[in-house]
Amino acid sequence: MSKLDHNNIKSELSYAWLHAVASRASVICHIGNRHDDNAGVDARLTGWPAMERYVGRHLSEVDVNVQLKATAQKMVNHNGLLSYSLSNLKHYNDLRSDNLVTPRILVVLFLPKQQQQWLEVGNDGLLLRQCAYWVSLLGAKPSTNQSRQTVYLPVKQRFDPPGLTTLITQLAYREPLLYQEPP
Amino acid sequence: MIDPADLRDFICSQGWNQRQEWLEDRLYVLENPAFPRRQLVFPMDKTASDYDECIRRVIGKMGELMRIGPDELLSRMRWLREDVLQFRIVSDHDPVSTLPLGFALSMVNGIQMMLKATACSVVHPRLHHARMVVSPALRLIERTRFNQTQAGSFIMRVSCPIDALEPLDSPDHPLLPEMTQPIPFVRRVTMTLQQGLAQLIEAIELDQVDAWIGSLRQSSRPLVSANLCQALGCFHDSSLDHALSIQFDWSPLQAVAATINNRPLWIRNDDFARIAAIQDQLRQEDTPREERLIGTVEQLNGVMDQEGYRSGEVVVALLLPGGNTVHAKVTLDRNDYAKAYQAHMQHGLYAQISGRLHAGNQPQQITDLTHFELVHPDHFSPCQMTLPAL
Repeated sequence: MSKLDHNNIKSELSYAWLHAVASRASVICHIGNRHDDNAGVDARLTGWPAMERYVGRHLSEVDVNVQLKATAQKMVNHNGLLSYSLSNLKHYNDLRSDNLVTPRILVVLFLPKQQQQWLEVGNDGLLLRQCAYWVSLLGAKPSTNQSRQTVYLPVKQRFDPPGLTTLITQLAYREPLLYQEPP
Repeated sequence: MIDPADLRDFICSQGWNQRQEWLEDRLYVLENPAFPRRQLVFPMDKTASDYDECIRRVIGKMGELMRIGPDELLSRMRWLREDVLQFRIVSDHDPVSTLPLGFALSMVNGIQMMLKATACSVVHPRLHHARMVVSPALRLIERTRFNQTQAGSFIMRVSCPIDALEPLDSPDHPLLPEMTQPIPFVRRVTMTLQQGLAQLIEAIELDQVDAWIGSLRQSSRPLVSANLCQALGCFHDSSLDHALSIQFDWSPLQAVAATINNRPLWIRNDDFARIAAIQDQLRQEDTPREERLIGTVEQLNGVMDQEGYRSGEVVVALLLPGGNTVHAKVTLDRNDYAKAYQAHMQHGLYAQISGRLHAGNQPQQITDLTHFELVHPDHFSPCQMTLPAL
């Protein structure tokens, strides 16, 4: 065991974001084990859709696997899409696979460049900057690159409690969350 | 990983109900009234990329709900379609940590006998089954499996007390030349076994079997015998693709040769065929020494030649030390055959034979015959096996 380095801190903060949002949305967050890590799954969320508001065939318990990333790179917004460079092509292919039973999403926590600004604690609360967004890469095109692939996360898909609740409900109906390639 | 239909059947056996409407999506979705708003969801097909992960998740959830550990749950699922019998030896006095080896073998035989007897009783109810060869009983035994007591436990352990027997008279041992104190017999045996197995495995791995067998023949203390090879064959099942690992844990109360490597010895599946071949080679090349043998003539199987004399094979019952007898064949010329005839026809008349007796199934074979004479019982004691001088 050793002191956390830069990347470890970012990683832990992304888990903290995931946990906090899931808890507020009444969603259980399981941190992945060694098997999950080999499969590119950092965490699993288990949630229950608000059944009283919806009808039709739907699951009453939903699981979604999460691959979690954190970056201090500058957020670049292209027409409502935030770009992120995924460094592991295996993970990219795992995320875009259409042969998965359990839906899988990518959650990226965008952190400020200045490390001092990542986390602030005061008498009025704890502030974790800056924001996390999610995307489903289901159906994305195969990569033609050697090692990295840029993906685009919609700004409207902020990873927050209402957004997560909506996501759980969509998945309860087994709606495929297809990736929208950037124009 | 468990088959999806088997998992479905197991979950249903625990009170869960299947939602039929999800079958068109190739999903098993199961609910249980005892656990409202909980569902177990997994694919009907093993082809899903995350099939294993789905199953692990379902087992984890089910374990949480039923308050059963995942290993226990998996164990129950594994025997979904089987009745499992567990036999446990319990002692009222001391905790039973070991059993005599013969007893362990007896228990395994007892289980087989128990199942056979009961199967026979099902087919033909009666108080005694003279021969338990009823086809359903035999097929039941064929299909019955010997299970692990826990995952990974197909380990058979035997313990040999190092002070169980007195040391041999000669304290020296090729592996411990520096020892001046007698080495316990049991330790000699276990060290010899370890080294013999290590040599055997190395010879196979390095493809130097022929050279190694040559060295065995020239050695005054070969560490490996055909019998040892035959014993290794008992650890091989041709219907399984398996390896054998042998580990020695030495009592610290007695020194072990420095040359001994404590790593486990591995015999791979392919090695067993080589070992069987080595066994044959060692048995064939084990030329028996010439010895004097004495016995009675039991059978005359000779043939008549053109001159009207019989010669050929006779079968003798050789008297061995300890009161044992062994039947052996020997080929005689006409003169010796005539003597054999006389020994066969006259009560109490023995044959004294000089030759090489080859071990094996009876009747064994006597070759290189150099001497065949009749011996009157007055000239020796069959009980004492004191042979008269030639």
